[in-house]
Amino acid sequence: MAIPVKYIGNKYAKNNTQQNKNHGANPREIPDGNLKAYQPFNTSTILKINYFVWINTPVVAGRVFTTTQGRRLVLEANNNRVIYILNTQGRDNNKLYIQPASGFIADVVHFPYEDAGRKLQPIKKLAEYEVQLLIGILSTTSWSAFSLVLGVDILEFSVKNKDNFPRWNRIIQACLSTRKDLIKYAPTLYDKLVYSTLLIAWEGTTYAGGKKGEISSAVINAALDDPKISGRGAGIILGKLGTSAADGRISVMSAIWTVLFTASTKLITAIPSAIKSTTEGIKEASLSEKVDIADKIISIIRKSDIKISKEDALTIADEVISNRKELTVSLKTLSEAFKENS
Amino acid sequence: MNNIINITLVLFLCSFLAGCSQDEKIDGYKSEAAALCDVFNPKNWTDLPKNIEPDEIQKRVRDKLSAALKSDEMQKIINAIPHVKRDMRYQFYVEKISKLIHEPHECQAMKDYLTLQYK
Repeated sequence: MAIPVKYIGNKYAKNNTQQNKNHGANPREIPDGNLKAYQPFNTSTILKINYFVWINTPVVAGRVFTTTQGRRLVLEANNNRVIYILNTQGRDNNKLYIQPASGFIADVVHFPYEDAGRKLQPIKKLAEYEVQLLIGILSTTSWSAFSLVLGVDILEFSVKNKDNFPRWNRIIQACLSTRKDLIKYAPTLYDKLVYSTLLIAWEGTTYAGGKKGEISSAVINAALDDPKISGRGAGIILGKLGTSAADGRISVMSAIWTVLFTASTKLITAIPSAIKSTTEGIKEASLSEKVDIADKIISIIRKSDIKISKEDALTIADEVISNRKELTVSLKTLSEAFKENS
Repeated sequence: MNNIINITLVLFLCSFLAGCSQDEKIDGYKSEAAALCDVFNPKNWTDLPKNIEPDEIQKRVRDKLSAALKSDEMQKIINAIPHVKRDMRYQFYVEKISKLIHEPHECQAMKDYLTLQYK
């Protein structure tokens, strides 16, 4: 319900637009060019609202608060300031704001006045790794491009991708947990499929942690234990590739993992005994199997933006067949993580 | 002559009734203002769980305010508060309520809530 300024009176009326505020406790828009000055966001700090003397309630990254201007998704909060994304019906939708803590608290705790006597919409709370994923996306792009990456409103995006968030996170964790084995037993496969297709997007970012922009082993280990870190990695990759391109690559890779996992579990005993009886026979069977796998890989990637040459595909097939035993677990992990609805 | 007396009596009765009704209305506003003030009395919030979520508090405050509100006039004042400059919200509330109930009104609990700070 709009409250006319005439009713409030000029003495009390405030300018409701979020822009042009560079004073007091009002929110101030963070323009595109200034975004980097606030990154990386510190998502571990808390601002506590002191309700009724004995109750302290937290304002932390990931929480959504309703105010008269719309819903606010908090990215960072401490006793000095709050940084949030505004989600509203108006022209200020999806913009990023910074506000002194005192003003933010007032806007939150006074909102029930606005809403008294009316229905309250349910408030969504994002899981921590979902926030990290959004922050990851945000770290790769300008603010205005961020909305384009998401394609839709930020909260709508998180609701729409409720099932994808854990999947993306699982995929990154699978890529990281199998990394060591893949580098050792199937370096071409790792380089062409895992690294060049997905993980490369993470490198060179503030969150990679390593020298020369490589993903440090500390970050890898932390990501395996902490879904917030892998969530951020997933966000960076989605941000750099764009969600639909990333989704396209993921489904292509999913099909390839299925082919490779099947190949890795195929026992040598499955080869007809007449052929198996000679070394030459085994070599021939093995070669034809490799060619078959390479053909399948090439056929799967044909309509995607993944670049693998016929020679690389043959090398990948050779790596998998030669190291079946060592790679079965890793390929199973990858195959399951990349599957939809897994 | 009788007609004039009758008309005078009817007018007197009407204005008397209107006065009574106005008084009743003001009394209604006064009880409403008292109930609104009571919403923020800390004694009425002792059952809050320690680990309550901020959105749950928002909801509870909204529900208690909604239960205390009886008139459109009072609702208009309450709904307008977030649109007032942050440091003048209590002043606005006092001025509007006092005008509505035709006497000065103060509410320390409301003042404390409207000037909440972080810890």
